[in-house]
Amino acid sequence: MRVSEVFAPTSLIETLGLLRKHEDALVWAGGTEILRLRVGRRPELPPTIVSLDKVPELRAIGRSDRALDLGAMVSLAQLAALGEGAVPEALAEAAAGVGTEGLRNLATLGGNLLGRERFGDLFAALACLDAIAEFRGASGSRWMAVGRLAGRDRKPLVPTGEILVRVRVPFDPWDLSLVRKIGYPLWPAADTGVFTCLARAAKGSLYEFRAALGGPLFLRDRETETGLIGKRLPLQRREIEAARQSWRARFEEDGVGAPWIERFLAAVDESFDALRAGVAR
Amino acid sequence: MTIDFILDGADVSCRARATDRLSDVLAQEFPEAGVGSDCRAGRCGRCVVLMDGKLVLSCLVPAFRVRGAEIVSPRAYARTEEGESVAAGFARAGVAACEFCTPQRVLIAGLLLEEAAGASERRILEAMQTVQCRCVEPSALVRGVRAAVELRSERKWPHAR
Repeated sequence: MRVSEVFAPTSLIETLGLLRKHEDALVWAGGTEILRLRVGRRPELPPTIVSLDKVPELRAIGRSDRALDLGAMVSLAQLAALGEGAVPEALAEAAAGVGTEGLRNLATLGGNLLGRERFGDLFAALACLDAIAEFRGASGSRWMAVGRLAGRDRKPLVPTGEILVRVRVPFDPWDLSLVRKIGYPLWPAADTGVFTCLARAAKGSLYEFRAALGGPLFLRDRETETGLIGKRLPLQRREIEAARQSWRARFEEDGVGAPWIERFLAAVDESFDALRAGVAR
Repeated sequence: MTIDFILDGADVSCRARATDRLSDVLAQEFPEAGVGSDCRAGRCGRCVVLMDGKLVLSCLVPAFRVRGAEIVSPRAYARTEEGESVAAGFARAGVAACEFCTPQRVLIAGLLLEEAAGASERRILEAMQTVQCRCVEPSALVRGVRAAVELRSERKWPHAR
């Protein structure tokens, strides 16, 4: 087996130059998923690695009145520790729930977002928060909604030939911010995922509602969410049932297996209960 | 490749493949550090070390990331004043963790002691999850960390009581 050649660029420009020269290189962010999935003493890896940990642009954290900019190499521990008010609650909670502390100090936002095998624990929260991601490649920079990183087959869609530079997360006020881990919480498996629900009320009605589940596949249906918007709170039983039917029909149509539909609906039920309790307060 | 780093306060150097796991490098080249490399999947927590002051699972750290880093092993930490103080706190609270996980738990407890606001029960339990060993009740670990906090406070302010 070949000994790996490891490059550790110290700027974004140098990183892009290396990736142009070594098209098959493995881009190494935190690397936790790469090493976790290759159990064994000497993991099989591509011969060329471009390590991003020395690129300062990728570690930057910026904040404006309207959004939080997070570099792709910000660790999940850093993200979870930013503190109340500095990061949207759903994102902080999702980050704090990833694995154990020893893993969160290594794992990065970028690595979590661009998992090839499954959607990372932050994906549903970032999609619900309307986060956008900046990618840079040979042809320049482009922004993309995080939700678009899920393909039509509900599997991860990872851009090639570009690197994720940062993620911009809007600050919007949410009356309900619910994050639930599904299945065993400490490490991912075929039956684990993370559900996120965000809702906002205005003048006694549901003004905004978003619900998504990320795991081996990504479940979200904007049509059903839109159908709920504008309804008076608390929601009536028949309105909730109609929404459940709508989600079920849409997911069945896409060939989603019954266990995942049930997991999604159970989490949605909990969200509706929390919403009702919030309205009652 | 040659990897130079600081291990338990000493400059060390060894030959390893770039993608070898740090836990394997430590277990093989520096057995005196007492770092285990069991699951190699970031689960068991036997391989925890401090890397540049942060708790990490060394089985998920490739050797190329260690160049120039400062690594502290649980065994070496247990010999420091802070480590001894944690161990004394565990003893005072009657925490009898097994020999496989005690150094790792002492290391984690030591980090919790450094937290400015004082670790909550939830925070202690969450941090201790890094080590997957069932030899001791989680509530006992909470008592152990709190006893270590008390002990440290007594040593710092001996006339306060």
